[in-house]
Amino acid sequence: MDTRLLQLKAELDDHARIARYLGLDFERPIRSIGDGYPENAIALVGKITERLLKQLWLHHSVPGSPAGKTLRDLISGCRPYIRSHRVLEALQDIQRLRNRSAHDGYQISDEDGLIAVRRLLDVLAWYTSTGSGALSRHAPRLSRAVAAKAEFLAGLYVTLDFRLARRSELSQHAVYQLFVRERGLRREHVELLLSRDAGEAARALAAAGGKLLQTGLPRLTRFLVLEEDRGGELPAGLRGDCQVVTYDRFMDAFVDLDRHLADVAALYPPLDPACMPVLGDLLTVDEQSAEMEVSSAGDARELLGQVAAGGGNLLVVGRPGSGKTTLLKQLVAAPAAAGARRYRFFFDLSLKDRQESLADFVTRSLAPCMPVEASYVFPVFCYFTRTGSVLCALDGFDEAVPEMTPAGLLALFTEVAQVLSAESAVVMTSRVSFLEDSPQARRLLDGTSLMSEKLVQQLHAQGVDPLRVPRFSVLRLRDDAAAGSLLAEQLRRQSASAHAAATAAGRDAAGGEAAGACNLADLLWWHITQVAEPALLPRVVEYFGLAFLRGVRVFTLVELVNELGIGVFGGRRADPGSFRLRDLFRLADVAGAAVALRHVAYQELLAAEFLRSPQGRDTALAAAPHPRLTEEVREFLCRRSRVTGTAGQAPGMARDCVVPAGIYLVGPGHHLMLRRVGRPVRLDRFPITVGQYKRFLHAAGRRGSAQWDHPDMPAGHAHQPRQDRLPVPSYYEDPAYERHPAVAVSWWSAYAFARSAGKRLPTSLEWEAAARGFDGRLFPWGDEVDLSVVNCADSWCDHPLITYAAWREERGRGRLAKAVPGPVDAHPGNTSPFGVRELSGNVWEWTSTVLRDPDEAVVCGGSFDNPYRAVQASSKGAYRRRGASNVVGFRCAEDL
Amino acid sequence: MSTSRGTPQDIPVEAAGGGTRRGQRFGHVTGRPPSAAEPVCDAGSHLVRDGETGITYSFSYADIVTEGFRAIRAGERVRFLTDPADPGHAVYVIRLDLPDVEEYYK
Repeated sequence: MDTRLLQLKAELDDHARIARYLGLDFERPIRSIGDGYPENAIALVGKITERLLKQLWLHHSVPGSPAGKTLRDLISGCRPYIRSHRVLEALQDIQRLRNRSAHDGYQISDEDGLIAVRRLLDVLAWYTSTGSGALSRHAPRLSRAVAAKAEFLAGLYVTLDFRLARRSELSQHAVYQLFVRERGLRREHVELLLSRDAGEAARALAAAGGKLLQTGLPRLTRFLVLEEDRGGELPAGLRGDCQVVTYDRFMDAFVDLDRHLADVAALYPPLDPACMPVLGDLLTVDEQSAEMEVSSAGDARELLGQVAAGGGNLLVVGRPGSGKTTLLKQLVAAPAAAGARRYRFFFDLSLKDRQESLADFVTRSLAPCMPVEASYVFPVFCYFTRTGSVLCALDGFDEAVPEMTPAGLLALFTEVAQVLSAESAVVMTSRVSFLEDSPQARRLLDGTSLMSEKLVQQLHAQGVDPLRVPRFSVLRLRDDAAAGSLLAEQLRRQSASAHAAATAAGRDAAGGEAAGACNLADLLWWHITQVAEPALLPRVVEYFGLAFLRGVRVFTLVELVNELGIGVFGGRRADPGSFRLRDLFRLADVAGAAVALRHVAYQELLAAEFLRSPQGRDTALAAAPHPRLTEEVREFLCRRSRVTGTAGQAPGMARDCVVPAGIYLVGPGHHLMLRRVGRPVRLDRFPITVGQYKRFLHAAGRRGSAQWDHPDMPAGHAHQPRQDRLPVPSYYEDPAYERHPAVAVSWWSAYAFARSAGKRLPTSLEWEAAARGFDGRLFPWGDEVDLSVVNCADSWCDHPLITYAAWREERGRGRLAKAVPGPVDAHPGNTSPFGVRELSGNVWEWTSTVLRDPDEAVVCGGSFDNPYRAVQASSKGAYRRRGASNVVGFRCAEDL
Repeated sequence: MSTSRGTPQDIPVEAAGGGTRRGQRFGHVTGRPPSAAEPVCDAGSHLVRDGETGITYSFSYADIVTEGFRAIRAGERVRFLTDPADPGHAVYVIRLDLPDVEEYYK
């Protein structure tokens, strides 16, 4: 122990400059361990770390004051300004150790104390070795630009586990640095001489008395790094084994950029040069005031070009096929404009294995073009990205989530946050935004891509807040319904060409139908059927569709042979060029051993097609406890069911309000699920009316209701509607309301009514299944917005409200004051595939589903008071069971 | 829609990472104003206590951010904004303790 303590003390002495400047005593933790109080050592390391972070906070002008901040908050605030992800790891380890130490039940060992000191040393070593003045206010003799370059080079070698052995500032424009790395008995050295040009390097070396670069060090790599290479003869000491590079090409020693870009180009189909302009809206955050602003971004390509040139972190949000991937590929593939970052990395996150960490995926992707040991690929990549030395494009963030659950999203975002910094230039694409709810975020996204508030809170608890990253903005690509998506446009052109070619040749006009189509599902299906022979099509649907639901996006050629037979390869040779379905696919690795569908939308369509059959849904649920279900799968399922004439109903089923047993697609768009209804159930065709409820009250008045009441119903509870909650005082007296839904009755009363009728309340699942049928439609009548068939807030305003903000504005104007429930049979078009009426809008409906808090039950379907989005079949809320509202009614169900 | 008037919660509520973000406040719903506790009063009035400053604000049910069902209970954690032009009134009230989606299907 004594030896180890002495060793740590000696290493801490190397950082005396920082200790002096900040007035810290680095030896106290060592003494505490020596005295047998490791918990005190950890507390002291925590205090020292807080002091270091407060200094960094001030150095980098982090908004707000660091005074009074906890260690966690200090780490979170400084995170964007710390270049080394290993320093971040060290800080988190210190935080963890201190938390444990403060916990009564955790035994602190000497080893814990030593680890805390060791991690503190990792932090200090970074700032000392890189020559940073952030913690010591060390004012180098070097010019600011040269000092920054020297710091970058030093940081790179410290990332590779070298430590600074010597540093000499030779002039304002020249600096010498010697790094050493020890591995067992082996020592490696790197010498770096940074200078404006070779002549200045020679003069600086001469001024140093010829004592530099005379070392006879073993395993030495020597670089002369020049601002510009003007040619000419090298100084004598630099001839021989010295590598001469310019600073802006120094990273060539670590990245084979041409190979990486060639690999990217090889893995993706060629770009269509005649792409439509991609327009978007931009949300930006003012770093000081934290105010958010939404503005029109114009052409998205220009905005991405600005990121490439000036840095910043951009999240691009858009629907599938809206052009996200195309934008990124163009950004990375295009020659770097003057002043823009030359080094660009592109990652297709959909190719990440579900169980693979981001670090492993990056290592696998970059190892062929980064000549460093595999264990250093990710740290070096992180360093390049966090320092803003590279442009990093991360495509398909949402597709990399192992499971579409809050935990899955949280895990991935926490990983990706490692590369986001104040200096980084990262462009990510996703279908969901990861933004917390705010008026501006809703304005940008219309609420469609917002994350759940619970997930946002979890991200913040982990210290991950996208909007805390300086220079972070969000670009939402516009959905232009008239123009369609980029993908749809490309397919339309393709089908039109096929149609024209077939017509010219006098053959059947293949593609004629698709050429005029706007719907993406129709166009994709056309393309799939053009490529896959009819005999092979069912197997294609089954294999690739089920694979999507299981989260599998990449297929090796061996798997294709095993699953589809060697016949899918021409000439019975399993290579990508012989693959008969190759027009639908792209390479997934540069070796050509694996392929993926050319766009995720193809596989989503195949998944939807697979789910159209009861057997498919059964298989999907058996194959994966949480099948990967996206909003696009749902939309395609609905569309395909409609065009094939199987919309929402099992073959042979009558519209008799019976919900058959089976597996249904349910849930909101961001959390779709397959759920099984175990046995058939018949729902009432209409909600219970005022007239029916009055008859119940009459019967209960004569005989009492005890035989129908729920055993848990509070004593004294009355079944009379709450008069003060009625839409109009005479609601239950005026015969004009006989056919209106019974409202202002509690769950207890609804339960008793159902019992009196020999029925029960439906579960929330049965209710939703009744509304959506088997095709997962948004509304009982389909996916289309139709204000004429539903009583909702929009229909009282005569225009779509869509969002909370629009609803709030209309309410403020008093336009919704007259909104009331209407007759239950007023909208014949509001009919589900099973014939159940008025499920959407008018009034929410009680269900038998009780939440974890037993005081609350689930209500479904939306009411006359809600905007259109809330009257979707998946819309749900929780209401206390004793509550009685003018917007809540009910209907009954009976088992068959 | 809650009628209970519980005392302010002592559980600290604040943004993870400390303090408030972008002018947002965090607090607990404490109940209804005395006048709104009576059934004849506006069914939409509620009170929220700022977890950091201890200041209590009122808000109406229309200030609860949702396109769906509006209900709130005493004790719930919320995030909200304040309007300098309308002191004492909370707007853009976001409920933080909503059930997970899967709970609606149990």
